[in-house]
Amino acid sequence: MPELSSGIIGTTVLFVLLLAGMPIAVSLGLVGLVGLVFVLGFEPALIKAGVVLIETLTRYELGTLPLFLLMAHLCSSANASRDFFDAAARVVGHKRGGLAFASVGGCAAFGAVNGSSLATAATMGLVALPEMRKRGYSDSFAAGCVAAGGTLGQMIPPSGALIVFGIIAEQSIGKLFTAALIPGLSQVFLYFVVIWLVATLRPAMAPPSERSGWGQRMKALLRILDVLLLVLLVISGIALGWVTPTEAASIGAVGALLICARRKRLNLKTLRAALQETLVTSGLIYAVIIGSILFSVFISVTGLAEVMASMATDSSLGPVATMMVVAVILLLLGSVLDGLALMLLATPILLPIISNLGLSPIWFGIFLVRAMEIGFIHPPMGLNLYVIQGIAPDISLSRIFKGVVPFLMSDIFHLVLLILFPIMALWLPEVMQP
Amino acid sequence: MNDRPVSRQSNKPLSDPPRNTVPAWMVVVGGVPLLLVMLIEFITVVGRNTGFIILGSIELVQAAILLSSASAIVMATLSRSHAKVRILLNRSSGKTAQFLKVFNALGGMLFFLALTIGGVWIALDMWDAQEHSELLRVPYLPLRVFAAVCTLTTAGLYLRRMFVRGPD
Repeated sequence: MPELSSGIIGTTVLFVLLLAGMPIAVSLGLVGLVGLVFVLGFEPALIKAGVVLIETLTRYELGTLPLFLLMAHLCSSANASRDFFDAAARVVGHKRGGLAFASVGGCAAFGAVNGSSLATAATMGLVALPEMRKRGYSDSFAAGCVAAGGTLGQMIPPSGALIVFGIIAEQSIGKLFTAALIPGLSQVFLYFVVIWLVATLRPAMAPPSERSGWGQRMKALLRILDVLLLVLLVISGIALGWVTPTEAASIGAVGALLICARRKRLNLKTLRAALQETLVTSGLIYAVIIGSILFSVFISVTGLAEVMASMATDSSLGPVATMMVVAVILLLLGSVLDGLALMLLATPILLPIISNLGLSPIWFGIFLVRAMEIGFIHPPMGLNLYVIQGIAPDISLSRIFKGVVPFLMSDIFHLVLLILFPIMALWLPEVMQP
Repeated sequence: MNDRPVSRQSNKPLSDPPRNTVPAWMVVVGGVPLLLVMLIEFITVVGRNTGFIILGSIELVQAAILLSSASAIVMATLSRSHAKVRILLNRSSGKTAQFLKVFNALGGMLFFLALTIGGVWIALDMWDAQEHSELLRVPYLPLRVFAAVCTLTTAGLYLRRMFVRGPD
């Protein structure tokens, strides 16, 4: 029992430290370490820290993350985000709401290169937002489209969040990527439905643009062919089990280097900038993973997760109702914690509950990332809203939020669908990687 | 306006380096192993499909990942890029903000110092064991030392942050 109370105290302290603005990695690691000192003693705790440090930094799967980041930065340098939006805008821009479809489509395509929600929102925001505003789209709707579309970066593989989840939950990153495909595509579909509804019910908010000729359309489509082929090669390679995620990431990075070179955008300055951005981002994530593993060890030693798991099993709620409750808790926590903190706090505590309920950890990874994504667009955290406001400071936060509300509603509907039909995430990995 | 403390030696304001400024040599230290990982993995895939199997590639990748990731942590700290929840930080100012900054930096210093001590402890325990990988016999001790140097540097950066003014 003393271990259990130290688990509860540790989790509470962690929450306080996170809110105080201590780096997530440090909060998790310190609470984990100090907790282990209390439960196991000074020497075992420090030795565990040393073991976790080296084991984490030499993990083969950890190569996946920086290589995918490198691929994303190089593709950005090659102007892939603008090309994706241009191609989609040329094809569907003349329809009512066409540029909004193009923004979300561009976010989905760029999300397949970039594993980050914030980066997708920022990059596509710079490209799509000015264009939509110029063509008479409502500020609020245009901003909402890009803010919501940005969250696709997190769900469409390769996804940074899924890599982190795979490492801390010890699940196959390849299976997680494959499992994310249908939820990612169904999210895009629901966003398209929202855009269609808004464009039909409030036509003034999303007017049609001029029609591009077939020549222009083909030219724009040809421009994205190389990046599109690279993305298809990477994703299908993982989904079909031809290559490991790390190997796929290396193919992606080499391919992105070649694309940059072919487009005459590869030079020492570009490469240095891409490497620096990649290393800084992966450095913060490595630190978070080390902290998170220490926190997970502490939580498992205290038995807190097992107690909560048996409480969930003993309650007569059943898996669906329990997951609905978990979803509400995650959404509430997502109001004060950012996505990464939420995932790292929730995973060690909730994973045993998921196993006890007979649910798949792969499904849980997708569910958790989906819940995290919602946190990116709902206040007060809603980081994508702030990113969009940074790009267009003349649009107030309240107007951006107003624009995002229809997408938020579709997100919540999508999360419920994911709870009711876990097969959405589990079917593809079963078929492709039996 | 300028409330930064001044260095006694140089009379220049003493402050953290601006965000996202990382020395070029550090990018090389972390970037070259990363490019190596990329090439090794790429050659492995190509080799596997052409009947040219590279033995021990995973061991090389693991060593290169350690070099790249340990220096990446230093770079993330140097450019003040570690992820944090900003809900309170963005709403605090003056003494509260300064207190939070020092408190958070103290936490960072203690955490990375503990990682260093743990890493060094194991390295000392394994000093005579002459650990190395199975196929290519990549020695582990220099990797452990490199990781410890990086975590100690990170702890040092947090220690420095406790004594300089400026935003968190």
